[in-house]
Amino acid sequence: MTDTDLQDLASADLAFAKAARAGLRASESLNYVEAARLAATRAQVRELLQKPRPAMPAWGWLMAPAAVAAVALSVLRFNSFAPTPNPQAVPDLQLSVNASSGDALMWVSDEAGPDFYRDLEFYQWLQSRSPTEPNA
Amino acid sequence: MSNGASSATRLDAFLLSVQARAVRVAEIATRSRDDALDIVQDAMLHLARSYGRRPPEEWPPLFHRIVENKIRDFQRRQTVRNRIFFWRSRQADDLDEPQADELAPDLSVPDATERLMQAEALQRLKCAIATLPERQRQAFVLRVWDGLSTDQAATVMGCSDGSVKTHLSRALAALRAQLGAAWSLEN
Repeated sequence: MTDTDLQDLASADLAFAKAARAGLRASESLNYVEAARLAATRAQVRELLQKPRPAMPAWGWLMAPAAVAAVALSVLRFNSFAPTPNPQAVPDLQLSVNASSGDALMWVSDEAGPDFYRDLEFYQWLQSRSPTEPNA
Repeated sequence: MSNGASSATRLDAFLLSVQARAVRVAEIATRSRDDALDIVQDAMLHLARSYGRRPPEEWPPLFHRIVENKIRDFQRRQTVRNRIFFWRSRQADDLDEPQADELAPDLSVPDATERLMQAEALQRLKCAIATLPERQRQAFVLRVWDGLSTDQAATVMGCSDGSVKTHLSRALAALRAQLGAAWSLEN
């Protein structure tokens, strides 16, 4: 440990501090039992540092890429199975909604906005995915 | 592995060099030798676990900071314990009684009377240090006793260099006022 010179102190404080330092350092002593206790702790410390740090086990190195691959595969599968709506479906529906047939759809078409067509598209898709649906 | 072994050896040497002083410092703060030993042992293990692989020049301020934090934790626990078990609170003047090893003869001083006076003066100094406010005690211990620089003491105490100087100046003024202008370890 480095000793600083305390030169930033006033002369009276400096003399006092030096005397106190000398006296206090001379009083540093440990008896046999205390020294043994601390020696045992230091032995623990040495053991702690000499033991290598716990590394990731071999199965960890195998499992990590496998987990990444599984996630990537599931994302790819999701994208590939997501059906694209039939481009003919929306115009057909628009035609049927806007047709002047005088049925209920006519009333809906007055207020039909983008949400309406999106919902129609969704329900048509849902219908195509459900062969058991009575209206399919 | 060899790196671990060499850092273990260096840390062991460092701890060996500071252990006695750390025990004394903790003893003055806690007024109990056993508690002081517990604190130092905990601090050693904490340093090894958390900072054992850091460069050796970083160890002194880190070790002192750990010791100071553990002393503060101990004092907080002690305060709570004393409030709950108020009839078992420790007597404040435990430190006033000189211990046998402190009055043991110092062979470097030839005269028995001088030795006794020296031990008495040292005991008065330790009692006076124990009565200082926490921050002043820290500044005195770190700067004067441990010999840390103002920068290092500021790092340990978590404050600015100017604050360390102020605390040290107040600590020295308080100690000199308490011990008297004629106090010296040499008379």
